[in-house]
Amino acid sequence: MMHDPNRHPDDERLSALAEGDPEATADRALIAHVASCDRCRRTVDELAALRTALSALPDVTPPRPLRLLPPAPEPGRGRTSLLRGLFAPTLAAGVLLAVAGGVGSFGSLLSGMAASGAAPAEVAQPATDQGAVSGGGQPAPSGYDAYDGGRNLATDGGAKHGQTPPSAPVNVVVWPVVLGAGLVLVAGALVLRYAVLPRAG
Amino acid sequence: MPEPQPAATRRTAPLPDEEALVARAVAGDRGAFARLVEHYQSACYGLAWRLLNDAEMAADATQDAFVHAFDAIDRYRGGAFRSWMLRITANAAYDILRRAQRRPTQALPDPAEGEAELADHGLPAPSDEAARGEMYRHLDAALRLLPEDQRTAVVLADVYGMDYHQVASLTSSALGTVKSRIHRGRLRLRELLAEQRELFRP
Repeated sequence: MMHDPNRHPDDERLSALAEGDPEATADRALIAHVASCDRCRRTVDELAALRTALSALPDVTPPRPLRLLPPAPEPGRGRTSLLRGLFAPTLAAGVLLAVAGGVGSFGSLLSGMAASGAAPAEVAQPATDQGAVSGGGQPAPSGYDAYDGGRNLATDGGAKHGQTPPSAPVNVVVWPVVLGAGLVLVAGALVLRYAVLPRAG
Repeated sequence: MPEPQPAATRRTAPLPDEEALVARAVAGDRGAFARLVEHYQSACYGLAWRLLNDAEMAADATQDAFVHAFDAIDRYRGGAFRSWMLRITANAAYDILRRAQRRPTQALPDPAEGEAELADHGLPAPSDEAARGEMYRHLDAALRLLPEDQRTAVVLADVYGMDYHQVASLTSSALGTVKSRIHRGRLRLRELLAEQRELFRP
């Protein structure tokens, strides 16, 4: 930017010069004017002195003590976060077991009913005994046979031949146990989340 | 007329073992971090106080800055620790400034209000003897009379030595706007300090 030597440059240009702005110090017309103009030279000098004074303004002590660190993580908090981390896996495992146990129980119930329906007379068999109890002693509708897989047909065959079928009693006991364990895990996870953790905070 | 002291006595100088302390703080040493923050708390508070014009809000901003610094220390990438803390403090002060501006009931003091009482603005106790110098009192009092945009630009650039790009980014303003605010702020300070002009003559 060129300056008429007979006119004073804009004060903001003088401020730029006072801080040594490269663009201003390269402006020959500006430099020439300031060199020959007492008013502008005084302004530049005072602005430079002002900057020096500003840059030396002292630090200020806070009016009250400040906390230098956030609270340290306490051992209890570590346990809490461990418990917090347990919630999701426990709930997931519980739901998985409950669903598997539920489906398995229902399946073994059906196979038991199918067995008792197919061989209602042979109540002496332990396996069909169970099936008859859980099936309420009523014969299953004949259509159920069609839905049962080969495993259940084999079970039927085993029952008819008077042998204790290996899978039926196991399934009848295990699946409800799995269902129960799943439900206990779900309940445990919920108690952990809504009763224990809020107090552990 | 008190002679200005060497800058080191008025402004917090780096700690002799600062580099090692910073390295330990970055590695997660809480004690080292606490020593650094304690050392620079007057520097941080002074910046927040000059930006916010309010002692209580400035203390809150400084406290916030310590928490932000603790969270960010593992991302510290060298340079002067003081400058790093000051940038975090300026950001924390700006957050408080923006919150205060959204709540009209907690408006900041109007700088124009104090125009008639330049001599006494209830300045906080300075951190050392030299700060009691009249020159600094007058300078701080005059800064408080600047319009907020000019005051923050002058404080960040001229008092705390940040470059214009940093000031533009901290204040979310264009570079040209920042330069203009700084120039106009300085010229206004010069007018306000006309009677004390000899105070800051070398």
